[in-house]
Amino acid sequence: MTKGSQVSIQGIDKFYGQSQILDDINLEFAAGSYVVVLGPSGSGKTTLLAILGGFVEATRGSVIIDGIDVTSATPSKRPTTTVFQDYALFPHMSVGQNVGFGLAMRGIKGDDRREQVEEALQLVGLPHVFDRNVTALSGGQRQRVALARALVVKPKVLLLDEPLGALDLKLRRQMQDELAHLQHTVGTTFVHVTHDQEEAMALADTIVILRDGQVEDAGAPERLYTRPATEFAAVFMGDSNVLPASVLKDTSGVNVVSINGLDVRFDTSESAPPEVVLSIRPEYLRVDRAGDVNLGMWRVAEKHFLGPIQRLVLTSGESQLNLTLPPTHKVDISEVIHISVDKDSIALFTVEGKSA
Amino acid sequence: MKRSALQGWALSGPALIVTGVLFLAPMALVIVYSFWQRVGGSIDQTPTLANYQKILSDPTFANSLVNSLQVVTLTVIISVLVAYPFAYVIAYKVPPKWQGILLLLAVLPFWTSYVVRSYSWLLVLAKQGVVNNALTSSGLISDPISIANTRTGTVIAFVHFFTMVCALTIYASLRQIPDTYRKAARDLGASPFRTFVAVTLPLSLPGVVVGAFLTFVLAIGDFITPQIVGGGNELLLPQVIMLQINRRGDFPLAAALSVVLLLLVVIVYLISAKKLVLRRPT
Amino acid sequence: MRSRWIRGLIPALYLLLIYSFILLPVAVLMLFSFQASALPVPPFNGPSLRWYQELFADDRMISALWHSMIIGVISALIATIIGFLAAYALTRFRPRGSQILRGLIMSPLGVSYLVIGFGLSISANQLALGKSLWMVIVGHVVVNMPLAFAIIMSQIKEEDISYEKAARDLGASEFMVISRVVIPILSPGLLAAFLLSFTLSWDEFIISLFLTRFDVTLPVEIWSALRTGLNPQTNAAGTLVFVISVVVLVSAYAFTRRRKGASR
Repeated sequence: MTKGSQVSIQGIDKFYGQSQILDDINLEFAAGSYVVVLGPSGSGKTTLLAILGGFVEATRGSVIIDGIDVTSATPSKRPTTTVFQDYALFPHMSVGQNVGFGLAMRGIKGDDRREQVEEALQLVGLPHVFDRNVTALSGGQRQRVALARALVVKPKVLLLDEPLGALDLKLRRQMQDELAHLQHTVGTTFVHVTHDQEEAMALADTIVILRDGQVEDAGAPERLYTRPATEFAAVFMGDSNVLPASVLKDTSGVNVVSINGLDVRFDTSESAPPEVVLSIRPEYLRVDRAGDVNLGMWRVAEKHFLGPIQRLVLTSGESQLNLTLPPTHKVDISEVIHISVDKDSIALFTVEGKSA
Repeated sequence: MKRSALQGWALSGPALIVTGVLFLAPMALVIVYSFWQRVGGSIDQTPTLANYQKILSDPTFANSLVNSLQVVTLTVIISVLVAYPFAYVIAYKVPPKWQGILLLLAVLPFWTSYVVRSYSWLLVLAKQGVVNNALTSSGLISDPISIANTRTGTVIAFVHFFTMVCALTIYASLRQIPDTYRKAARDLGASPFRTFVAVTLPLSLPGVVVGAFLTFVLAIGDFITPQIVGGGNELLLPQVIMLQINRRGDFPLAAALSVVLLLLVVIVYLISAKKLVLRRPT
Repeated sequence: MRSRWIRGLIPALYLLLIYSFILLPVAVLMLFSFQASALPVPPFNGPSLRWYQELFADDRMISALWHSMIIGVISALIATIIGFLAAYALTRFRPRGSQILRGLIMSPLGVSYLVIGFGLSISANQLALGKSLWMVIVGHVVVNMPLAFAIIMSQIKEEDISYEKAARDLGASEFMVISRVVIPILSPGLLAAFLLSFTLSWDEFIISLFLTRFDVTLPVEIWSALRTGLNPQTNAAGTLVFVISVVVLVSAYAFTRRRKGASR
């Protein structure tokens, strides 16, 4: 079992010619944690991973692993290994030769090498494939071989580049469980890049949300979901209702949020700016009057049965809300219902998207 | 999707006719001729193995066969050895947008007529030619050396052309290897040299084999280069065949020699057939 | 930093060396086509257009040049069309035994031109057909059609079937599907096949030698001229061939580039 390593990313910038891919990235990953770097395409997440792995040189900044600056180290000299998106298993070698490759490069031979390879294969749940050629394996099996190959050399940090992208839904869910279990067993720090926020929440101890080369938010999945730091994070992680609103002073001088186009008001803090954006998750809306904030009467425009939940689209005037309910709650289209929500469940953002 | 099979046959018909009537039939005729014999001024059509016996017993023919094999094998080896680093540098050390232009530049000289190109080599390698001129005027040698009209000249001219052929096939197979394979090898601790030996080289072998095979097939049947650059001192198989046709008018014997040439190619094909399939990465 | 620079130097030097080797004969050829004296070997005495003048005055050479051009265009056209039809048929119709058919069509590629030329010449003899430029066209079609076929085969993609299905669905006849949908999509491959066939025909010597007598192609004419000895006029002819080939290639490349830009 390897103990994980602490990773420190300091002031990383990356330019390709004139275009900036990464802008002042500063992150700390705790030793032995499962970190997921989440972001849409073009966010720079793959470049960040490549910089961590040593395949791309940062324009500025440093990468420090367990206190040692590895910024100028080549991939072969770095204490990291990468699981590539296409797995990159050598087609002319058997499973055993693939997994043992890193050991061979370190001069480990014969029985010792074989033993370690078998151990690694056991770890990923593929005990009997040593002599098989990699081209004969299924996608899921190849993924495990790639993991075994990367882990057998006991890296301090394991980097995974969208490892589950090529798998179908059921297999993906299964592999997510296995990855989480693997990481706990082995203890290595994992840095996993993906665009799938469900995957991020399922696996991560820490999620880093990247957008256009900058860190939008970083933290534990629960905190990111319930208290996102930016509007982008709120919308990217799960679903969100986004409503523009203004903040006015009421008769007693207290700041009050007034949702545009609706007759809804509630108190808010002194520091709120005049224009804000509200974010409310569909599952926090209530179809009764029990919530702190009364959102008024809404008409049910659409109803979608999604299996474990149903999603309703509600309209009131020009405004629209998405709401999710258990399917047991019976509601008809065109019905007009009362909607309320707890003030705690409302996230306020400035028009620039930052927390208000 | 059932479509009219008739349409399919109609469309591929012309190609099949060309292959059947204009290629297979003449080839069959050549094989038939090889079993006939030239007697006096005409052809005796009684089937006989006389031509083949002559080929096996007469040293001129055996020698030309051996010479051809030696020259062509040497050409294949040298061409591959020169072409591989060339293709490697272009594939991996040159920025992608320049690769096409560099390849084009390498291919461009071969847009000259083959006859003329061989003739140019004669100019370059002749006693009064450019190479000898440079060597004598710089004082490296006192008398011009004969390169033209020797086997060396033939090999040089062959290698000139076939390096380009092999470079193209090797380049293609190098580019086929996904970047991530080499990155993974480096990531696991391999030095650039070990990455090359363990990953790049094995996966590029199909390109090498294709290039070598093409070189063999094209070179062994080539008449022009040995004739123009190699001269008449040492005869290779194609030159011997042409001799039978032009000087001696012995078509049956020429046919038998042609069959031998074809057999050589078939044998080499069978040997390399397994390696000729480009392995697709998974 | 410094070691990086040096590491880049060795590959660069190797490239330079090989390119010098590759370009040497062509450079010498072109240089000595401008030779003033009678021998195309050093020393080089000052540029002169004398040999080009002699070349253009040489009727046999000029007519041989025309012959080569026309044969090139005709045989390339035929080879490309036939190769295309066969490639299309084999990929879209998939008759039984298409692997065998494919092998059959490509079989001439493994046979030396010398043997093909010889075979065609004795066949023509048997059929009492005389040698002529038409026979050369036949010979060139035989050797170039497999190549055109192979090139076009490699360009036909499974995904493009949906375009053809859509066209048929909208009422197009087979002929229209091929002419309006298939051919435009394949045009880069068709052009490449045509150009390659033209170039190989243009340059082809041995089959032409077997199948011509009085009217010859350019390579054969150059060969005959060579028989009489080294002559800068041959250099001029070779340089001319080279320049024409380059012009054809470059303009075709520029043409396809522009078309690509327009349609995408």
